Amino acid sequence: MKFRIQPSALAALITVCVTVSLPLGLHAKSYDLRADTASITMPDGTVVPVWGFADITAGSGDGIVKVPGPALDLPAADTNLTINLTNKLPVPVSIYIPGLRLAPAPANVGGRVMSFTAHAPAAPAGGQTTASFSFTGLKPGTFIYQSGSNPSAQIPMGLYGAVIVRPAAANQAYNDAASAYDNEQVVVFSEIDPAFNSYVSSNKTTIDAAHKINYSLSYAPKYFLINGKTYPDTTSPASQLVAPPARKTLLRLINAGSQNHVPTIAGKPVRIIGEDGNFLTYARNEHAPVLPAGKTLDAILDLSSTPLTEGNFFTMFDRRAWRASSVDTTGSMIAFIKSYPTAPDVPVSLDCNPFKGDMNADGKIDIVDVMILLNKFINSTTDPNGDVTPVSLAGLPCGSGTGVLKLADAMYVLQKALDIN
Amino acid sequence: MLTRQFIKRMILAGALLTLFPLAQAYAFIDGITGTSFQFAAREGRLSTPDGGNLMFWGFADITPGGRSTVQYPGPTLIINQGDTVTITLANELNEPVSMMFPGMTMLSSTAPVFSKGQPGKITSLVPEAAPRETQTYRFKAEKPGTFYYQSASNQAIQLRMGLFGAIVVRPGSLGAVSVTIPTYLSCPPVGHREGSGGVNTIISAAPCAKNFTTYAYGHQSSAYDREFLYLASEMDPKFQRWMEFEPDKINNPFDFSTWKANYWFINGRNAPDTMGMANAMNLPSQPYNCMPLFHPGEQVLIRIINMGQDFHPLHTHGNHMDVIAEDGNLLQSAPGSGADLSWEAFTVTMAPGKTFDAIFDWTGKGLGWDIYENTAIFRPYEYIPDHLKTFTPFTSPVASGTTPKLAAQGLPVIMPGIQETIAGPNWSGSPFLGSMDALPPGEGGFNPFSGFFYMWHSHAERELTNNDIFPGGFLTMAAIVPWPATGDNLTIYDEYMP
Ligand SMILES: [Cu+2]
Repeated sequence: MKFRIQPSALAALITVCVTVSLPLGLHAKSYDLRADTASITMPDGTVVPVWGFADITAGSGDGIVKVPGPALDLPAADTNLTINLTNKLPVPVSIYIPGLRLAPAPANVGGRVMSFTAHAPAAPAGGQTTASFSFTGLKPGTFIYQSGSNPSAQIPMGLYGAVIVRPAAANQAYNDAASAYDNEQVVVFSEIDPAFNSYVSSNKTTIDAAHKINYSLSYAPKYFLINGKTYPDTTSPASQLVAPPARKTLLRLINAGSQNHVPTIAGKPVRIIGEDGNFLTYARNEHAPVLPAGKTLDAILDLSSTPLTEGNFFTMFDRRAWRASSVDTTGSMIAFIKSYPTAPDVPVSLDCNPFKGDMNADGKIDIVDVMILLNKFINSTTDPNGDVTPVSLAGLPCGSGTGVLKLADAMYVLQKALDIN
Repeated sequence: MLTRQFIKRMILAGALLTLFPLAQAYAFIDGITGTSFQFAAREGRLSTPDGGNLMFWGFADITPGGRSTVQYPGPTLIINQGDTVTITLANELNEPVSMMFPGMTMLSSTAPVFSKGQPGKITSLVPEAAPRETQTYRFKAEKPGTFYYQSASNQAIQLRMGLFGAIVVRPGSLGAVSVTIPTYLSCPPVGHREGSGGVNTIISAAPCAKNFTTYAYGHQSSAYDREFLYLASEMDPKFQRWMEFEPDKINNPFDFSTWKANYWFINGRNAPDTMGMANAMNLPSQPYNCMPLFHPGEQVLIRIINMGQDFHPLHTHGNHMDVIAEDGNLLQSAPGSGADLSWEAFTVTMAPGKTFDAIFDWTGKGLGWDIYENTAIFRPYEYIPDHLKTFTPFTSPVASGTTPKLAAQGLPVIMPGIQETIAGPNWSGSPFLGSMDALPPGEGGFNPFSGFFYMWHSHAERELTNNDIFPGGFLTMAAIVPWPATGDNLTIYDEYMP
């Protein structure tokens, strides 16, 4: 999260640093990435083999293979990007960024074009190969980096991530004041078909008579991901997006999947200010922006007219409403944006999450929680988790922020225990 | 001319009985008005033109005096900018149902609902009505435009089942605004509507002006004469049958990755039912039709909503449409500038959950021939150069099948002999607007005005079927209805073209 209370001061600071330390145009951010295998566990327990990128840049990378890969977030005014790729996968891997200039150098395997650019060859067992990719003359915007080799297999496997190129001015998406924001969030959409990933990870991508490239024929995603998580994992506090009240939040919407999505925020339209890394002179207000596969949109969730004291918990969902099964909502493309009153804007920060009231932290709200709350109320014990009233305008249990319990809190939790809404 | 007039009247009389018994319902958007509504969510059945019959879930207007029948799509709400609207939803289904109103300012809670506070059990994006319970929603319609409501519960199932409907928000009055007519067109009729007098006598020199009083948005760039709704949805009959007949839905779940639409609907009907009358008695749960009827030069507002899961390319024949608004926002460069960012398209990508407004008009401009067959006078909105270029009076009918019909006009039509002709039901016997000619016995009859018909349809051609039967699906015909001529029975126009 890049939310700051005093944008002007920090902007001045950043501007000074930038101009003093490096002349404009000579920046060259360099990332060292490793393409490697990993597995991720879906909320229903299914373990899916993936290919991802790890940031192994000396001093800053954590070396963890991620899907989506680490966001390549360039410093302000940086116009050059170098990616040094170490490939530990048993297939050739390359990196390209749609919308940025890269000399095409198609690589043929078995008479077929298998890469858009020179690639790091398949790693020998236990070994690795390397390649380097440089992009120059970058302009501000939101982009996707992804494997440029056998992309119909490697992108669904997880070899993708966000690229953020920034203008010199802090807290602006583009070189235009109309793209100013207070807070920004990267939101990457993608899908997973576990059968597809299992097939590809068992190294059936070798092109020979026995292994035709036929796995994409039956590609049928079962999990729909936002920032690598699917519902209900997206409810975890770490996965929740943030958009403070009374602020403008820039959502960098990226579709790294193979399907078209319509990311919609329940109850709030967004203002589309950029598309594919291009600033839109005339922004579009939309409640259902179309985000086709491979596209990026810069959307402002403008809460500047929302009072500082208003608590919200927005749902972001794909209006196409795809999910795997009729039985439950697991695997749905649903994420949440918390928008809570935060000190020092308000005297005390408020927690408005809709799961508050689960006093014994057993994952559900039932009559036991009501009893615990009542007991604490009688004994004048404070507990922030039971401090749920008053509720916000949106109907969320924001509480008073003091942790002091009231009878009204017990009534509210009883209502939740009885599923009355 | 006696024969032609006689045939014309005969066909008109026949058509009146068979095709247009409730003709008023063709020329505006049906819906319910007010600020306080009671809705029920319940199960219903709909008919498809291939003889199919599918279960759906829909909304019914159970407000006292309302239709009270469950319908697909739900009742179209027609409200006014600034209205505060209250809807009480009674849930008659066996799972929770809710309503959300994208683009509206919500005055009731918008907190998502997790069953017993369990993070993994989201049931709705807004408060819901439990089975056999009610829930009340309140919102303010701050902006005019085209919107919709839909269930915010269990969307993967409930949207596919039909829990949605359109909302039209009318702007505050701008009063009458005068718009100058381009000098290449003849002048509009006095009083504009048929029956208001004087439509047959217009021969006036350009320039002239026209007064508009209806607008989609609070600006004259959104002025229109007639409006039509294009609400898209689709169904996979396999899923609908699973919903209806699978006794053990828990252990035999539906795999949505196999869901594939085979029925496509406009306003809840598949072609050709789209072109039937509104409130048809044989389609009790599908009250809305889609049959744009309009005169040359009229500004036609198309309100476009996609309530499905798939993208649909809406294609207009006859002319481009001018897209003036998206998601209820006029496409303007600055407040008050009007739709100066509008764009022309012959295909608009209808995206799930998205709305557009487009303006369409048709004058025959540039076709190169007089659409009204060498009439001596101008009818309204004729393209003057074409009218003048082709004016070659003739005194007697030319027998079909023998002579190139009015070759001097440059219209390359040589009529085949009547015995060699199979006529479609919309064929008037004449290539000219408002003109009829002899038809084979038993043919014709669906075109009482001798209008021109243009298909407006999904350009994904697979969507022009009803479960694999062509033609059908997302298809309707827009009819260009001629302005009346001297001697025409104006009351007929009044009835069809309010
Ligand atoms: Cu066509």
